Amino acid sequence: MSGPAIELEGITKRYPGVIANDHVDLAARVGEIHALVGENGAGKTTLMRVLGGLTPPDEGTIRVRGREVSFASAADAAAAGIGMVHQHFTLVPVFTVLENVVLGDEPGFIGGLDGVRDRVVELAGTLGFSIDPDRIVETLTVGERQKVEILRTLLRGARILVLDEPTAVLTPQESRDLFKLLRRLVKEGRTVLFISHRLAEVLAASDRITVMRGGRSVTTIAAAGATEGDLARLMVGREVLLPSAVRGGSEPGEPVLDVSGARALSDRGVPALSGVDLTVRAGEVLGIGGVMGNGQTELMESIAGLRPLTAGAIVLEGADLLGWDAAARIRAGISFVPEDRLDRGLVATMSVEENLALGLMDDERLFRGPFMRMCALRQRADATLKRMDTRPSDPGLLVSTFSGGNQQKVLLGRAFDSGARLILLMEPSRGLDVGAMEIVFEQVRSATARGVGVLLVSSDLTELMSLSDRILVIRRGRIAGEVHPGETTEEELGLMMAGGGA
Amino acid sequence: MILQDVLTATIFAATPLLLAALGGLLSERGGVVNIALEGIMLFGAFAAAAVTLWTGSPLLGIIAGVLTGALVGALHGTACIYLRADHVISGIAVNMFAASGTILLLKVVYGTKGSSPQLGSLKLLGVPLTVHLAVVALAAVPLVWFLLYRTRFGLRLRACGEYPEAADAVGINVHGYRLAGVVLSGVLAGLAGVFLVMTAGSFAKHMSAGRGYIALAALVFGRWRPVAVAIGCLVFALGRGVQDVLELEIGIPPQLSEMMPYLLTLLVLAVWPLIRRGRSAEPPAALGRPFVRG
Amino acid sequence: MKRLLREVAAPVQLALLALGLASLLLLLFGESPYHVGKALLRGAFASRDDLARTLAGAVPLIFTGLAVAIPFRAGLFNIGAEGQLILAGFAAGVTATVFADLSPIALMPLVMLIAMLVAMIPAGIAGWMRSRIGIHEVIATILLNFIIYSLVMWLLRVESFGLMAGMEPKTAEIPLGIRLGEAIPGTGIGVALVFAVLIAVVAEVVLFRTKPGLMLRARGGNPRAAESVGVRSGRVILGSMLVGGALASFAGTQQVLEVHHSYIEGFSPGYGFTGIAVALLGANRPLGVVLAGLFFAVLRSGAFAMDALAGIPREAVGLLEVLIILLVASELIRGSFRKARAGTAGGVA
Repeated sequence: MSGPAIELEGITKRYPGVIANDHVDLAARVGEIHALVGENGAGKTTLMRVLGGLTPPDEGTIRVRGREVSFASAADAAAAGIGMVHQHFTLVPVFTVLENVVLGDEPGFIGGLDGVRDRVVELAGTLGFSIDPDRIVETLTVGERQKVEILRTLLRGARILVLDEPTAVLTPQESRDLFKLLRRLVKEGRTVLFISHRLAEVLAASDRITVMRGGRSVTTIAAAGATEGDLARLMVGREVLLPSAVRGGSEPGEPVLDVSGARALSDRGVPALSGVDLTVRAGEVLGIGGVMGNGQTELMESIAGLRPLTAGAIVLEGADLLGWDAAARIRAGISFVPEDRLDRGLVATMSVEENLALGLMDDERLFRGPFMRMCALRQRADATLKRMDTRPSDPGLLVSTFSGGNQQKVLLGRAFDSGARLILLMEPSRGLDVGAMEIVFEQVRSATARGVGVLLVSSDLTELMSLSDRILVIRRGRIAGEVHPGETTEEELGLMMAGGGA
Repeated sequence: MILQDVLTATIFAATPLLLAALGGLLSERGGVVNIALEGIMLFGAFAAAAVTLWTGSPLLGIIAGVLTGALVGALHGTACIYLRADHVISGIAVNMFAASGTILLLKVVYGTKGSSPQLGSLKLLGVPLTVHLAVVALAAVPLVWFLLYRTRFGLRLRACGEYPEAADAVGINVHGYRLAGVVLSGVLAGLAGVFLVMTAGSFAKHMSAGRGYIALAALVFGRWRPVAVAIGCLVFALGRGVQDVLELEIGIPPQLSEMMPYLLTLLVLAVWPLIRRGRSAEPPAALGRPFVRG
Repeated sequence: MKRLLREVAAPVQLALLALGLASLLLLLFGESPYHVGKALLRGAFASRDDLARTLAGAVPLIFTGLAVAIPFRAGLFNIGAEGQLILAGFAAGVTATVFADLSPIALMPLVMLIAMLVAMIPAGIAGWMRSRIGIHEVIATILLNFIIYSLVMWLLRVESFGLMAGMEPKTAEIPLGIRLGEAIPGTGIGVALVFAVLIAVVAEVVLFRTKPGLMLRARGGNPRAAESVGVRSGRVILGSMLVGGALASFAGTQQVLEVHHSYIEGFSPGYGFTGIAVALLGANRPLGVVLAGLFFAVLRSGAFAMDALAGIPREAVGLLEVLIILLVASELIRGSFRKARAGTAGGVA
């Protein structure tokens, strides 16, 4: 092919206590799709931010088409022809597509944007999709928003497109569309650099792959001829066993939770659940698969008592929970692990033991009347932190002083410690490394062995397949089908999530 | 006849509310909570009175009031944006600063406790300056609307208030735009203070009398939209508009009629959402949230 | 205990920083910080009477500090302490006059109770508006303050009520039996101060050692997380505002029972607002509030002497309060010492 589009040499970025990037080298050629892989914390995102001008590196050089550049801001990077598509989209939700596309690069008065409007429609056409420039971004699907982001970078003359985990929020079909689009872009002489955790898709979609580990770039290999095992070995630095179905064989007992005909509204007041029926049995993990935003959050919040049902019923071990608030449901034996630990999970400004106490307010051993038993609480917290292998292990520290992964362990430890009959588990291993994931899996196994029912929502298909006894696929607020992990593939599951046949 | 009096009184009562509320709008659409409107008005009023007395020129007084407002706005903005102070606390601090600061200044500059000397004639082209300012306030409604929705500045400001990370990603200086929003709000709230002085003919301590907070109430009422906010200001001004009528025509004791603007505002705030049955007010999504680059 | 020490360290440093800045400002104006400081301290401590006045002056500041700090721990801003304490003072003055014939042992609790209940009304309204309609409590409490000022002025003057003692805007003198004196004779430590410290200790225990306190702080730290562990947000909002109103009421009652012996119009020089500075400097911890209350009481009490002896207007002390609020509130400045605040106050919504 042709020469280098972008070269990074010896990029180093230090944060207090950690070196996020340690002399990283990376070179992507014109006309190639280049993937960047590595475990959580390997330094991929920092490298992307350096490339996008968002984080200035402490050392190292960046060359674009052979010319050395230095970026003081995102604008500099954009001017050099680098277009970023972040994992968290950078579109203003309440703005229209057009307003978002022109933001930062607008004419002085934005009354007449017809010229831009035409260009947007035209460019979308040549890329093989259509988009209404006057739609409000909030109302678009995730896939559509991503296209708007790409469109915007292209309209600003991006020659090098950098995407941070672009498929994390997409269905397999949307992902396939995306890679088709990216292939078209590189054929026109652009360069695509993307981060992904999904090794299969990396192998299928990219030309070359750079592997990072512990803040360093390990190597760059050609995708053709490489295997998932090769990549995993390079990422971890040793031989690894890829997770496979580890469960099975347990005997589900009596129903713990019965949901029937559940309907609920989203925060924006539109129907998010349109008649959901499901049953979780004692000792069973029922997985909920689906593209994020198809009613999973609303389902879990409804069961936890944080969102009213507009119709239908939720029954816990024979008791109708209609009109029970969250406190009553916790008392009845429901424990909720929300998807975002610092949003609905923990109070960052309080200590770990206080956070544990908050989840265990009905525990007689921790409270004498309204008073907290400080010693008992400390002992309990020590035990929980030890069991979850949390570091640091001092329960008197504020949650905000813990890393994300360790916060997640605190949150999970609290739920598994609560004596709940039903655990609502959302994205349990988000932000956890392989070792911590093993602890979580272990906790789930021992909980189900005690006869606890688990309702699991995860966007990680591997996790879903490994942990669940059964998987229900949720789509647009309805259950679209049921599969058993042993009898299906991730591909089939993905197809159901996207709306294909069951 | 009574109706006409009420209307006139309402429009004049609405003028400072409009100016302050539109100012608050520009600050808050950019993401900075502006509880400081009250204090900015007070400082603006004092500066206008002092410079008018010093130079004899009400026009210079107006300019001084506006500049002082901008300066105090910049102070609040700097605390919130650059020092990452809690927006509400900083606003309260500015208001307390204004309350005790202007009293201190009265004492130091004029040796008085309650109010400044009289300003003398406050007319321009034979028309009282208050009338000019009332016209400016009314004209500011479409102007602010245009600024927010039809200019580059407005689009960027709103982006900073809704989702600063998005604005930052396309190279917009989030802190700069936010500060600009707060400074503009200082300009408008300062002008509101000027109007108070021009109406009263002198500066008196605590003369803003909670108008900054009523302006905030108008922001909530109008859900951060210029025209609706303006309507809110007119509604709340009615409380002051009927005050004279209540006192003179109906014979309500002055202490009770003074309560009207606040009571009306509180009642409207409490009852309006029940009537509208809609969802509660929707402030800009990133209001009060400091922007820190990751 | 270690945690308490750490939490106290930052505010002390900030107070010193504020005093340093104030000294700098004085130097800038050609005044000697040493002389001004000496005048101020002499005014606060020189005689036994001065000391007694200073200590008594700390009482309303401790109460208003608590009235701000407790709701603050729940994520709420009680800017209405001023109105609440004025209403309470008025209610106390009226109750003491109307039921003057009751024995002091019955009258005292009655006065306190009625003042407390009356002060809880506006606080409750603001809490209700916040939890039910989402009106920000800053707006509601400020509007209520103005309503209370007018209402009390009017009530005092309604002739048929006959509350005014002569032409002065004040109620009749309260019976001797319920006037508060010294707790330990000769020390200047009043009964009210002992009561204030006691209340602060109770507040400290409730906040940090009980379930309601845990829930309150959780809602202040992260309302959504608190909700998901079963904390009823509406109850915490209403409850903490009611407690705030009750605490503010003690400030008004103390002023009537200990200081003025009647309700006098304009008795409060803005105790409710100084309470914000007290709460923030006290790191929103009840025991910290006691110390911060004493600190500001010294400043206020010495301000008269500073005015007379050093020629610095006593209103300048108000600026020091503002300076401290701004320093404590600024995350970057505070962060360079240590993070010590309870929760965020949230945007206007």
